[in-house]
Amino acid sequence: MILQRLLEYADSRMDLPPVMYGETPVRWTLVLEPDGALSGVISRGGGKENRRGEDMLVPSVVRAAGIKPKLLADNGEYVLGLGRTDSDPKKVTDRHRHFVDLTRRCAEATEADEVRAVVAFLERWDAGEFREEMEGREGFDPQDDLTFRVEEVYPVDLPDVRAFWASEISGKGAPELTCLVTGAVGPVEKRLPVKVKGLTRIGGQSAGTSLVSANAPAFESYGLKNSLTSPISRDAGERFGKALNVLLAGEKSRVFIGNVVYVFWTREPSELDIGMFMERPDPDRVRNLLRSAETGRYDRAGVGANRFYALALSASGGRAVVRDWLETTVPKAEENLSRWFRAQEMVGLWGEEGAPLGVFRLAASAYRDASKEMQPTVSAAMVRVALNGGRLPSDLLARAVRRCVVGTARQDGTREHVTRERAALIKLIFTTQERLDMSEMKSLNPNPDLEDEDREAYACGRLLAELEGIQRAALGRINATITDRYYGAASSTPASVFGMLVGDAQSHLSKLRKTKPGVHSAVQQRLEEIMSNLGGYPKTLTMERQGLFSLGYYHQRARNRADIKAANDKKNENPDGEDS
Amino acid sequence: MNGESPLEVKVWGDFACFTRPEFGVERVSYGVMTPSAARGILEAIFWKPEFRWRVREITVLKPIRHYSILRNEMNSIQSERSARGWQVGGGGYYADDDRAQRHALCLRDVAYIIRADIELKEHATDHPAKYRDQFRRRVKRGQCFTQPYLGTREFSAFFGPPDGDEEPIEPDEEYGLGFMLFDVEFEPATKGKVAYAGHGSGGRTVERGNAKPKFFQARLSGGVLEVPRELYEGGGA
Repeated sequence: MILQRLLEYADSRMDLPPVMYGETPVRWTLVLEPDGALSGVISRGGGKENRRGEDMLVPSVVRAAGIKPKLLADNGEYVLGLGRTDSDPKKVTDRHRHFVDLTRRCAEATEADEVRAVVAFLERWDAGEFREEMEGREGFDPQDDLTFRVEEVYPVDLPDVRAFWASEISGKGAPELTCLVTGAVGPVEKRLPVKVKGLTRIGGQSAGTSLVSANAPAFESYGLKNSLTSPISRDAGERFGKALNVLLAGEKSRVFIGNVVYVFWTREPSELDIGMFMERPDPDRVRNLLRSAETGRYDRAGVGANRFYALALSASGGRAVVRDWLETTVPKAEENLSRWFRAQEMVGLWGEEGAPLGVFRLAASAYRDASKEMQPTVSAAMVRVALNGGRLPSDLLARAVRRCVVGTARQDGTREHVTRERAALIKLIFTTQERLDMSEMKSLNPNPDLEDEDREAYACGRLLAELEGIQRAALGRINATITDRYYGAASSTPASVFGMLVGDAQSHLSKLRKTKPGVHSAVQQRLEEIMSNLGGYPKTLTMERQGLFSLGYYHQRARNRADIKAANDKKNENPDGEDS
Repeated sequence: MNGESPLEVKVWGDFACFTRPEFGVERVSYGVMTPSAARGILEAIFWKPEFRWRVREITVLKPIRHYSILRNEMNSIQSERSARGWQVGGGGYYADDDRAQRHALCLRDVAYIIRADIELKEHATDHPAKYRDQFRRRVKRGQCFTQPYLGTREFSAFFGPPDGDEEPIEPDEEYGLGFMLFDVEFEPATKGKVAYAGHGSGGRTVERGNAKPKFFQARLSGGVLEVPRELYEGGGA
């Protein structure tokens, strides 16, 4: 079905050339009368940029060795039998003969007058007429391509000629099977004509990768080899191959995350820029998305809604691997996206409004070195959940919590345990798993809607942040804060450390009472408020509760920092004011 | 048989991979069981040379969920000739050189009810009810010739009689399945590429022929994939 959707895209949204036609530079047009007489020769191009001629849509075929005439548009050797100085004359005559044969067959099959005119010309040329027109011509090189025009019509443009060329090119000896993309019975290809380019960034071959291939004995089945195991007609193969290449090349239709590329398209043209939302979400557009979701602007009609398709590909040498395939409607995708962005909303490190995060940044926060360690399945899962709903895996939560314990080194030598990305990721995982209510957890929530033990875990995180704040207020900047030393133990076994930590904090508090009484009273109040949530310290915390611990820690820190910043700003405004 | 109620069996499993032919190497599964996979399950439970299975309907009982795995697989196939050569002359097969990592996009947690008919072949002499009863007894007892599997042999299937209160899923109205593999048709040909067993009045014969995969436009309406009867006309499997 992936291939069928690509084919639909090719047919409806792309302006594809006919089968086995391509843009080729053509240097000369031979203008003919209906009886085959040469009435003129038109030069196309020949200047510096288009020395080989101007581009034109003519039959084209890959030619390596062997004689393969191109219908009605080929170089001087094929069309006129005029060889280059170093060509073997016998080969040249052979080539010319094949060309004439092909043109004759085309004339018989199509019965078009224009093609008959070409045949007549060729016969007269072979008899010796019109030679002086071409042989002495200035700038004529037998390498350059020529085509014909009969009065005002170019035979290469005729639909009958195109059909003839399509069948001519594909029909030779190919078995007749049902094409599984179009459903039509006809000749099918052993090797598909168009390779998928654009996967070189993620490990594909530069010559192109194949989406459909079976190139080793283990992949043959029922005596069918290569692409015959999946019969696809040449026309369909060319069209969906080209469609995929165009989608991979377009900036708006694809996004690389890790070593997987996501290709998005819609059935009808749409404004939806999924790539941007996944990679580098623009805060304004995300805000618009969330606002319109709230006002229910989107038409949620089932039938008739624009269809949305997403394909995740990775490369394995010469093969393109389908990692994921999603088919949904544009309104549903937008709805899921707004849910995604709301789920990851997290206040910034200093209490400010946080910008939305892209998928890679979110996922990478759970790894030490995402480029080496992150499995492609992780980003695929995240994109799928973003577009289609569903749950994020718990093992990602476990990884994120582990990274919170270890922390990330900052430039100033300290370690940041719970970064904003990790907090957002943890909240996101909880939201998608739907066990905990995360709707009010964007910033500090003194009274979260959680059950007792979950609430205690959250409060423990807040407590650790508060104790760290007390230590900092009392001692200033030190090399290793209690967080660095005790985060892991506090997160997994709070009962073993918090008693000691709170006890130690008393000495800091007494120092604060003497030196900064204002700070002391504020801190004391906060401490009491947090401790009121704690019955006793939990013995151990489950992985989920450790996630809540990190959230509590992050929220409290962000709030404390916001308060400090507000106080500093106020102090800077009126320098005579007291400490807060 | 026309007019008779079809035979039913409920099949479920943890994983399934009904491989699309075009993505046979880096496997991508169809969303729903194919008629040929259904036939495979039925034949594993009960088959005799006197009849063929005609799959009528496949009801999907659980939501369609995809699942991605990476496995190391081999590029070569086993060959008796090379094995004999090694037996005589030493040497062997080293998987290290032949390994490749392949990805598979499978389904997880699947359950289906297959409804099918038994169609007797020309040389059968017994009453068709005999085979239908045998099938029903075997399903009830959980008896099978080989363990049925969901698409590929590593994903074993469990089977049993349906409870009677299963509900088909309610998919997105527009869940199109596109062209789905119906089955593989074997055309006899003297210089054909495959050898297969033919069963007729002369007993088991080995015939040569060519294999042609056949496709049909599949639609999942109300959670049920219906296999059009016309596909079975004009040559059987």
